[in-house]
Amino acid sequence: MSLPRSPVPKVFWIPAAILVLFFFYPVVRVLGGVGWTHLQKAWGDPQVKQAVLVSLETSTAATLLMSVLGIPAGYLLARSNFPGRGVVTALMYLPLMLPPLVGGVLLLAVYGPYSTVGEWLARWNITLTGSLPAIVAAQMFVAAPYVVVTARASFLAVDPEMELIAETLGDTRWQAFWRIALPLAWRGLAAGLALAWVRSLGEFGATLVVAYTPHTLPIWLWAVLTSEGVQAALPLALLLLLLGMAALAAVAVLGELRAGAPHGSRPGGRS
Amino acid sequence: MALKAAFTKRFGRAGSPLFALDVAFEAAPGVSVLFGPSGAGKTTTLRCLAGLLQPESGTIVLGGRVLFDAEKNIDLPPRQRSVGCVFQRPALFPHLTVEENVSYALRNLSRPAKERVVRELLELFGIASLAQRLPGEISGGEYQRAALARALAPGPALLLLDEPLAALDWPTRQQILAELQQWLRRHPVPVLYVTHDPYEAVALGQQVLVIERGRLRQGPPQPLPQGAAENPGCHGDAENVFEAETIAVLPDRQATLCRLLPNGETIEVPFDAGHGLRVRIAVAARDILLASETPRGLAVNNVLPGIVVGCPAPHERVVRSHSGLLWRVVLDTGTSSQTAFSNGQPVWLIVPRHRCRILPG
Repeated sequence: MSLPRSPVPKVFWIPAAILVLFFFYPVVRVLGGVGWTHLQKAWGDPQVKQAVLVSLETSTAATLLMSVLGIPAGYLLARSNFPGRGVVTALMYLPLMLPPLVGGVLLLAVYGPYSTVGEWLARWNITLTGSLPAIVAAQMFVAAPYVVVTARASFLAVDPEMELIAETLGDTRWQAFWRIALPLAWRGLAAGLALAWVRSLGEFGATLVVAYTPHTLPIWLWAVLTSEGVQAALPLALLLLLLGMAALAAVAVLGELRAGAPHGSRPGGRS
Repeated sequence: MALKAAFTKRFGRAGSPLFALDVAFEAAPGVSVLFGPSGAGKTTTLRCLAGLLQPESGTIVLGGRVLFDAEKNIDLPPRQRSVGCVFQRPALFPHLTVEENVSYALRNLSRPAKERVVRELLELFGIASLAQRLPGEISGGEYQRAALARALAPGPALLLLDEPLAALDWPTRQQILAELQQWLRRHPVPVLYVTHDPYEAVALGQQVLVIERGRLRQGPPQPLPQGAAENPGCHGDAENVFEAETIAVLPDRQATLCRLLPNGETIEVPFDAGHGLRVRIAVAARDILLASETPRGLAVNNVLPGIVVGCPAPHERVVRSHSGLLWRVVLDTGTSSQTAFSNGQPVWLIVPRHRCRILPG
């Protein structure tokens, strides 16, 4: 099958190539510049293993929480026409605009040990600083918009008529959401959750403020970089890179599935 | 089981609404055609009946059961109304197969009962072979058949059809309407059928409800509003096109015997078309003659009994032959026939063999 002639001017290849090189060259250097024995030694370090474990645990917990909170929020923003919806939608984007460090400062001010909420949480032995829940909170603060925004877009892509028809066929609104909207939007939702997971995994700025310890992988990378230099930090950077690439591959596969899915919002392909 | 509805629905601000719907009508079991221009309030009426929109005032009573009463604060949700819907926008669930779509509302039935209902409906609409296909893998006609089957599956007490066949060609529409009529003979429920096609309106509707600018007036089936006969689908060159299968070649008469689908009469077409083939047969509306008594001594083989079901224009008639197929007929304007062949009159369709054509594809 021959592709149709591209309408893109040839000159557009130049900025695209510059960007690709800008991203790709450091990755190639990291991959090529770290020896295997060096990697084995670095990855065998118990502190690195502990940091990887903390990162995987917290980012997975944060992603689960974000799915429970973010998917209904996305559905609400896509389907409900309540006063102030525009403002709420804009607020959901706010963490994307803030530097993560600022997010950390805000979290510390509101949920820290000397805040009202922090004191209340302390009664239940929950500390939102220097703990696993603190890391999860920091990750959620920076990554939740990815879930809400992609969930909203995924539900908007589902014809609301489908859910109305399901209601005339005996469904409650909850059943229509569960049986129709969710299955039709799941590929977009899964891609959003994968993005949120990888964003949580790499979260540094907000985590640095609210929970320097227990160390996540990015925080440990920072500690190694500042104490031992770039060469010592490279194997850890590579590890984060590989985890990120795995999530990116998952997103790409889900995107492919989505593009190829029979999304029949119109009568069939032949007549 | 009749439908009695009288309600109002406003859009926009209370003081100066952008659109106000004020309808009052009754619909007996059978097809009532809701006819009116775009934006008149047809779809809003159906959505209020289905429970997808809440009227401001009034009542909706279906077979003695109150679905909505503003004063008594009764507003049954759609799932409790027993109302089947097929709306304009196609809405088969794309992630479910045809079979899963049709059985969607039957989750409370036992597995054998569910399978029986689904099988019967798929067979009625001729889509049993597509049971395992996804909606994206079937044609437009098959898609609308599946949507109808899904709406009929739970045995609704009221059927709301909002231009369900508008996107389909006439022969496909014909077939689906015949299949729907077949179902309605066994399940006499009120059906509100929205259409812009006056042929469909007069052919289907036992009563026509005309709605204009949010106001609905109930009237007899005839005549249709001014301008209805100017609908592009309704001119004198209109053709009757039927799906058919060839069942015998008649070499001595240089003809082929064809059976009109789905369960239609047999008619002869000129020339040898081959045996056992699916074909489409076309006859122009002006080439068909009508007789009010049994024709005798005619050198014509294709004489089909039927009944006049509509008069969309003075010289035009819609005749339903005994199998349920609808025939458009343009009368000879030189005769006084425009006063004859009134609605409900038994007639004979005379379809000259040499005027029948087999369409390519």
